[in-house]
Amino acid sequence: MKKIFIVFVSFLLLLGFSCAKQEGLKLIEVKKPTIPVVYFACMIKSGSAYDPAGKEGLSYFTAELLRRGTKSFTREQIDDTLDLISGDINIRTSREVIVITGRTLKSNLEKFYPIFSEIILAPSFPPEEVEKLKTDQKSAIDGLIQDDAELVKEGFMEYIFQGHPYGHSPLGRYSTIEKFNQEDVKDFYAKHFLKNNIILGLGGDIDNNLVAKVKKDFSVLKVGEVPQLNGTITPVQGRKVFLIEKEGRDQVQLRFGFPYELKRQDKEYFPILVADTYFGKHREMFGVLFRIVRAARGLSYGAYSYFEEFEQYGWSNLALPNNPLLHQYFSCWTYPKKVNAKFTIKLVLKLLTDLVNDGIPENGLKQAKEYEENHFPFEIETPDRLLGMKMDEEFYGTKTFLKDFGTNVEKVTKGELDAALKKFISTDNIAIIGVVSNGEQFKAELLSKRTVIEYPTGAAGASLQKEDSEIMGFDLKLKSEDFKIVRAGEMFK
Amino acid sequence: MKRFPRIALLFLTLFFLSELCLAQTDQMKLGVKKTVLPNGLIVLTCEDKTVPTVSYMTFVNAGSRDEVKPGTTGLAHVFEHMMFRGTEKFPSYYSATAPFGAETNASTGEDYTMYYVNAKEQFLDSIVQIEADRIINLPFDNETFRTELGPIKEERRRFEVDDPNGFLEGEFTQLAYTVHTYHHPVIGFEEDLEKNIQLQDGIDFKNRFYAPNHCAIVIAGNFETPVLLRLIEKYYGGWKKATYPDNTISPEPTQKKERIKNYVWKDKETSPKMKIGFHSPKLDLNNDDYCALRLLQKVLFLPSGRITERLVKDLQLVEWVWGGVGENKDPGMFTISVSLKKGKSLEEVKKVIYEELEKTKNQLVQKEELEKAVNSEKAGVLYQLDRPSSIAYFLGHYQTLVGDYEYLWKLPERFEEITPEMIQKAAQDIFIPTNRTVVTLVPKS
Repeated sequence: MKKIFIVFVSFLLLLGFSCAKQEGLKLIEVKKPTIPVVYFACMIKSGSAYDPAGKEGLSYFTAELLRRGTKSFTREQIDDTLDLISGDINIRTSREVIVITGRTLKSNLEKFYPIFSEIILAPSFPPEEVEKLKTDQKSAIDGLIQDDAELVKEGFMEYIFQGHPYGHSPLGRYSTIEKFNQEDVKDFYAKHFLKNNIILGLGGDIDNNLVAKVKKDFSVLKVGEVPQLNGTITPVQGRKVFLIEKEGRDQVQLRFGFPYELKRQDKEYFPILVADTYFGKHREMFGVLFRIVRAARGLSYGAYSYFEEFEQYGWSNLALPNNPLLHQYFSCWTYPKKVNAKFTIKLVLKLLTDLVNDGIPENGLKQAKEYEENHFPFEIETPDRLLGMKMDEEFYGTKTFLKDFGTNVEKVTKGELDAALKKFISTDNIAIIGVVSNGEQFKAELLSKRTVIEYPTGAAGASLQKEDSEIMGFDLKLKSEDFKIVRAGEMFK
Repeated sequence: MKRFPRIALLFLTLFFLSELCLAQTDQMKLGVKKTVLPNGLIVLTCEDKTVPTVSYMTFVNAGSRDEVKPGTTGLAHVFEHMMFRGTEKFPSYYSATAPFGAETNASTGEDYTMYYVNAKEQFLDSIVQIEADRIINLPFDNETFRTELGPIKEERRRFEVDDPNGFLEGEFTQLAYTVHTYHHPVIGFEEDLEKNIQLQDGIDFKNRFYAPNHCAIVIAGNFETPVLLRLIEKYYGGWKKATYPDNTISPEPTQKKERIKNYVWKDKETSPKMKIGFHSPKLDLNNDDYCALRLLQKVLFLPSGRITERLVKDLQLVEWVWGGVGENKDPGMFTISVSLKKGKSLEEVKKVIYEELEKTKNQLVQKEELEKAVNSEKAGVLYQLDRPSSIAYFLGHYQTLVGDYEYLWKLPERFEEITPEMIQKAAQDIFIPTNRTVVTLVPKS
């Protein structure tokens, strides 16, 4: 196994990447000229957690305005040119960062780069676009509410991080968006778009001339005092339930979890990563959750766990790079039909409790480690992914994360993993978030002594009845005061 | 000698196609090798020694389009799920592939079902063995079949029953197609999944379609073709051809009258939505209308496209709008899907869309619009060819849909020949009110 890993480290090194600092500017280069495409990325370390109080959504608003006009280009000219050369520029705002990514055919670099650089270095924040964006951002909140899976994820984040700057959506609130003006945006830009608050990335078919030009152009950014995040994360105490009401749900979207301070530098990081792979790796079918919730009982289409922030990268099972969080969380996600929701909650909690109490089986540990080590090439398969992963290394201050990944996975022992689970995972202190038709009714069901399961017609359920009777007896230990219920439409007011 | 990545050759071919580059075009085309086994199994290989991985894809030439027997809607998709439930030799598919760190999954569409395994090249031998075993020896017992219907029904609830966009899509195809099997959703109707599909239907479907003469294996990445072909021959060579007659799929008759259906959604949070569609030609690079419509969709829906400009940017009536013509075996639809901003009027949005469609019938598109459209079509494929799995997917996609994997580069080349006049003619042929289907959805008041 060690030999295999050395091959991959060598493969990584062949690609050639480096990090240069110039008066605070951090530039990651990933030269991978397999195709004549150049990839750009810029990560501003000021996401929605840095929104001023009462101006929730301002970082997103500022970020979106970047490509609606610059010193030399109007919004129309930007879209026209990008369409003509088939270049892309995408902007995303998360809790920790604003990320601007771009790609162009190398032959079109001369037309693409002035737009990409001006969007970051010389945005004009046109007043007419400020007004238009208010409507668009409120509409984006409407869009989030319409998607139950997105809604339960956002509800989960807001609930477990309540009282902390992570406790509001990057999209903000309808009421705060309405008050934004051009001065707010200019102020946010001036405070956060600092040379020492940015990680730049260049990837693909790049050469030294381009690198030198980017370094020179971005050196005009000012160095300043980087705003610090203030706030305390309150741990979940006991089992809590947050229900989001939307009429007519046939299915209950469920998220379970809690915030925790697991850092990439922690000795428990890789043991927890391996444990999560064993328990519920996203879109993989060997996970405990998938096998027991879906394959054996047919309760849900998906059942997964996440040991850190996760957004799916395209159609893959990979995590989106450039999506870091300094304060992480553990969560599980599944979506049974209404009648099976209570049973599924009990089942997931019991499986997680069993994992913490009993530890990982040796064969499960072996399989999860082999999976992670052999899956690693896909993490860095394309220039944009490798670039994003290298930028994340810089963000987290873990410069050898990729180089040492295989070794660190290989080193994980059962003892370390079991101890890490006991230290970081607790099903006694966990938040359960659900999107349901009727909050009070669902609350009453969860508080009642009755639990039912409805297997698919003619399915293999009969053989599981004894086991499932035991799961039905799992005590949720919920009290009426542990519940909070809100209408979906009220969440973002 | 330094190896030149196949993908780079493809870029050169498509972006700098000229007499100077013809030699490179030939190299690129020779890079894909097609082999047909005596049992009819098609094997496409595309080597790339610059990557450490392989992508192994199995295309079964059967999708929801092939569910012709009443009461069996969703069966092709059920098979997709069943293929992950293990065989006698490999009782747990997951346990067999997890140690490889493999990416494994599948998808079912109207026209075909596709399975993939992406893994490090050193596991290729095992992958061929596992993939051959499951497709040849897949057991199909009633209890497993019924259990798997559970997650399928939850998948349906997630993407159709509780999702307004999925719901509208399903209602749209049911209204637009009256006879052709594109009428029913890929995931199937609830009553068929719940009670109508019988075990024997599954067995019949397997015998008919899960046969070598209905499948293509596509492999891209780091391997040696002769070695791989020996493996394929070893594991698939004994697979027996199916001798069933071809399915008879009724062609959709010409639509003679506009079809409209309006729905009220079950919650208040949803914003109004609409889907408009016109019957259009099937994927065929020799069909001028089809190729012209592919470019017209870019003229209308790129970020600087006509409909996007008006609805999204100028009037701010919609959250998003997208449209275009798909790639199907049989004649499909040119569709326009739109999600309105809350409180905006469906009629107002419809009026703008119809005005823009009329303009394409009455005026020629501009040279720059056409240039953008062609560039976008080329780049849309090329940007994705940055990994073996994308290459394998596109080769298999075109091989299965039209029997010609070379569509991957023939289509972009063909788009170069499309003129504004051809686009105008396609618009005139297709955008006819009697050929139109419209479904709308508004939130509960």
